[in-house]
Amino acid sequence: MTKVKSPMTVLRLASNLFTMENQQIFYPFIIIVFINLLILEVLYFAPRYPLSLFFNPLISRMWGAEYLQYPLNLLLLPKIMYYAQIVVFLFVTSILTAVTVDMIAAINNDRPAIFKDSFKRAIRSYISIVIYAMLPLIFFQGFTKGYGLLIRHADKIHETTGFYFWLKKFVFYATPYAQFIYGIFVTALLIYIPVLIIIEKRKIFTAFFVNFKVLFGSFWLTFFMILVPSLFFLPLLLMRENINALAQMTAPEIQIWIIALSIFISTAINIMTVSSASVYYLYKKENL
Amino acid sequence: MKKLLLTLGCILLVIYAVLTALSWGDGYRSERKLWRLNHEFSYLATHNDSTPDFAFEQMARKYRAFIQQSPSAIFAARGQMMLGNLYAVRKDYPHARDEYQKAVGSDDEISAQAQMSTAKTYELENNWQQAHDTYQQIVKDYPTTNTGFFVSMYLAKHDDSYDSALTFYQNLANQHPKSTLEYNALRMIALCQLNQHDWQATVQTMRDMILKYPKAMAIKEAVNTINLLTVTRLHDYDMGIQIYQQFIQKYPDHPADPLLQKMIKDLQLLKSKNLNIRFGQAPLPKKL
Repeated sequence: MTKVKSPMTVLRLASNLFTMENQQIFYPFIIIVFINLLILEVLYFAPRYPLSLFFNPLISRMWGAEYLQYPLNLLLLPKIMYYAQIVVFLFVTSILTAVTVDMIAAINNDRPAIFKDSFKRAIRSYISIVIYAMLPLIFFQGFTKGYGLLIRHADKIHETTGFYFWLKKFVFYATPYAQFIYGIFVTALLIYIPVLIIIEKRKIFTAFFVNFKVLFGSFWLTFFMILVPSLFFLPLLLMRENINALAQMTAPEIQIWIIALSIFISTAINIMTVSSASVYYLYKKENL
Repeated sequence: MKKLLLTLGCILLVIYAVLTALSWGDGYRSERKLWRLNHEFSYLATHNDSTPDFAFEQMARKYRAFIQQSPSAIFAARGQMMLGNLYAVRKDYPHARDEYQKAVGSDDEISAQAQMSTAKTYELENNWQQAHDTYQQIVKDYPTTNTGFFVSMYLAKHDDSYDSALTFYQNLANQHPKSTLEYNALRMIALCQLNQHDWQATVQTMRDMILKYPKAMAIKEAVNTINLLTVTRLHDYDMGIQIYQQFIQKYPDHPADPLLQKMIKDLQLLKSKNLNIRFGQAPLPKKL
């Protein structure tokens, strides 16, 4: 086995597993992307007949009837999609990610990666996996509240020049990037939990504590192992931040394409990071 | 994997095709087309002086084509309105009026808007008499539309004819009890009375408004107006105290009750100190 010295080595080892020989390892990625695209499609058609019969009263009550009109419906689309993706992440993406972990463990044991078999094994830990999937959401809720407080404090700065003025600007404009870094940090903190649940058959609470034991001494390797693939999301983040200007230059439909692209990229990042964590865990278990 | 990709891709395509077919003719396509034309027109309008005539003619042709092809009478009328606006931007007011008149039809709101735009073109030509007649016609024909509702106040402000506006809104309030229209009419009545310096009537209208419609927004407006008028104009603290007591009695568990209790205490304090506050320069609320 290659000696693991850097995050790049782990990432290379993980990406080497995604070959046509183990083609079923692509299934979780394909299914997650398919479900998200299907939801995007349904939500895009939500204000139109016949789906409007169900969605129009909901949208009118929650956001206002104006969001049923073009192009405001497209402005609302990312928001509704975000809520839908949370549900999908909790109940579908989480278990399919766990299936990927099981397939990697199978390959490591020189067994074929068969989606159906891995799914059957992973589904036994479904509850633990769903609870694990809730953890980053809880951490994010805490972050949103904390950052909200920071923004409120920054809002009280009335200087129009100097250090405090720039600090205020920074706090306001850095929000998505702070979220991005925080997201990587939280993922790094919790990444070995699904690996432990699937490979070691641990329950969620044991996995939570053992996770920190695995992280001990390799936190920064894990952090950069997650940071590197996550960097592919930065262009999308930039696009999202400038969505209004982009829509003015092109068409309001650009929203749909950006969401579709982000589905592909975020799913690939998610699968890649969990795969790398699995590879690194297996390496650590066998060699250290 | 190819089979899976093909199957899932086909499912997405079929769903897209089915939803497109089912929603065909629901107006979404017309709405999108009109928005795009309006977007193009807004660019021309902001560069009015530097845009050659042929570009406007081309734009007019696009609108005409849209109007002819539009399956929905509403979108055709909206297109007609925009065509009128296009000529109005070029200061071709007679032509603009012709186009606006074509939009007058089955939809009351669009018809009122078309008449309003027609009246505006007369105003732009400094023909106030003709504009006034058209505005009067809107008040007569479309009193309950959003546009028609505010025309009476517009005329009152222009001609200082608050008596006729007051009668109009009082009739509306009487004809549409327990409705948003009555609530809005009461606000307009109070505004007319305020402009007529009839402080007592203004306070009474505000009282009626909050007793009938105990909404947060209404209470906020009413408390500001009642406090200001009873203290600085009427010097009748009991009037304010009685109104707030009436409200608390009618809505004993209303969230605004603590605020009104505080107002009662403050007014009682002012009364006990026998302060005769005369804010001769105190600005009156320009709008409620």
